[in-house]
This record gives sequence, structure tokens and C-alpha cells, in this order.
Amino acid sequence: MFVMNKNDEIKITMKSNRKITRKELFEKKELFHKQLAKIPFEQKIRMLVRLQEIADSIQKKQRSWRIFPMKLKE
Amino acid sequence: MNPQDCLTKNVFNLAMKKTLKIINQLKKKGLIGDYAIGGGIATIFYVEPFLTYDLDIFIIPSKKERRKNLILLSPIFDYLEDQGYFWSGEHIIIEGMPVQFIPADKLEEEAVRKAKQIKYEGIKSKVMTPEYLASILLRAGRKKDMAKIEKLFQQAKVDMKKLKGILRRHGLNDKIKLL
Repeated sequence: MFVMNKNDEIKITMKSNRKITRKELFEKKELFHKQLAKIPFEQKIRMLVRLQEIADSIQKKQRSWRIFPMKLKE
Repeated sequence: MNPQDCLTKNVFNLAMKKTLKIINQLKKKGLIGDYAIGGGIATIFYVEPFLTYDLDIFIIPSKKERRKNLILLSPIFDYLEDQGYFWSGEHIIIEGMPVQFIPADKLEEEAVRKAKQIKYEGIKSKVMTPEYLASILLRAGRKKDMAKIEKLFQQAKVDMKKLKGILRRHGLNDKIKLL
């Protein structure tokens, strides 16, 4: 939930001189997360594996879900 | 299929699909009574993706594998090993995915029975509902569990009446004040 503070009405100029307040910016951010929550499960799993790969590259470990190519032949 | 294809094609969805197929086979063969996806992956079903690695499968053991004070999971593992899957710590690696089979307790058993039926790329499966996920997470009560609950409340529809009912039924009244 978004909590108001005294800076929330400060306007921010975006691309093409579009102006939004900090409050609007955080409201849009919250909306973005809610929209992500609604995407299909299959798409989320693809994103999850990408997240795992990013974490692997940072941690220099390999924990991301791997499938063994030989098992793919059906 | 070469490794490069793994990066470009829908391989990881295929891994999930094949894993669910294998778990459905366990049910069909009577090695488990019923199951539902729980934990992080089930939470992701309702909220935006976040980093997690293992697939938690809560199972209701089949009657023949359930004896007084003993749940036999070895037939499941024997079957999976026969299929060529192997162990890594507490997980069995199915199609490259670490899967943990968790025999359900009373609360989790209810969660499995009332889980939402889904289809993942055409494969039938079940995912715990947000109310049961929240109850199980609340009961565990670690910081990472509370973070998942927050996401569920912000991004999914959680029926508070149902959630409170579950908590009361399972003697978790003290957790209601945390909501």
C-alpha cells in the first residue's frame, strides 16, 4: 500500500515533457506489479528461470533449472 | 535438441510440463493419493515472479503407503529412480528441476483437497489456493514467509473470511492478529 509523504505532490518530468507526481509514479509502479501478477503461469515460469539465470551469474553458481537435452526427444 | 535451443525455445516450460506429467503418473499408479503444488511456485501462480528454486509438492500418501505413525515415500523414490531421476540433498531432480515431496499434515491435507485445478500447457495439476498458502506461510512465520504473504495480499485476491476460518479450524487463532 502506498503511504503519502510530504514529497508526494512533487512533479517529475518524464519523456515528452509528461509530468507526473511521485504519488502517481508509485501508484503506477504498484499497478505494474499487479499486472505482472496476472500474466499466464507459463510465462511466469519462463521469467522465473531467467531470474535464476541472473542469480546464477551473480553468485557464480549454477542452480537454475536445467533440462538435459537428451531427455527432450519424445 | 542442442543446448543452444534450450536458451531459445520453450524448454523450461517443457521441463515443468514433463515434471507435472511424471507427478500425475505417481497419482495414476496409486503411489500417491493426491497432491498439490505449494510453496514458492504456488505463490508465483498468484503473484509476480520472484526468485525460487524448488518445486514443493505436498502429497497425501496413498492408503497402502500410510501406516500407523509411518509414511512410506520410498516406493515413490524407487519409481522415480527407475525412471532415471536422481537425488540431490533432500530433492529429487526431475527434468532438471529440484522437487521436494512433502507428506501433508492436517492443514496441508485440507489445502491439497481444496486446491485449485489448473492446466499447465494442457497438463492437469492442482495449486493451493491463496488462503491456504497464506495459512501455511503464517504458521511458518519466517521473514521470507511474511514477505510472500504481503505479495499475496497486494497482488492476489485473498478471501479474509476463508483465511480466518482456516486459521481458527487449525488452532492458529494467534496468527490472526498478524494479518
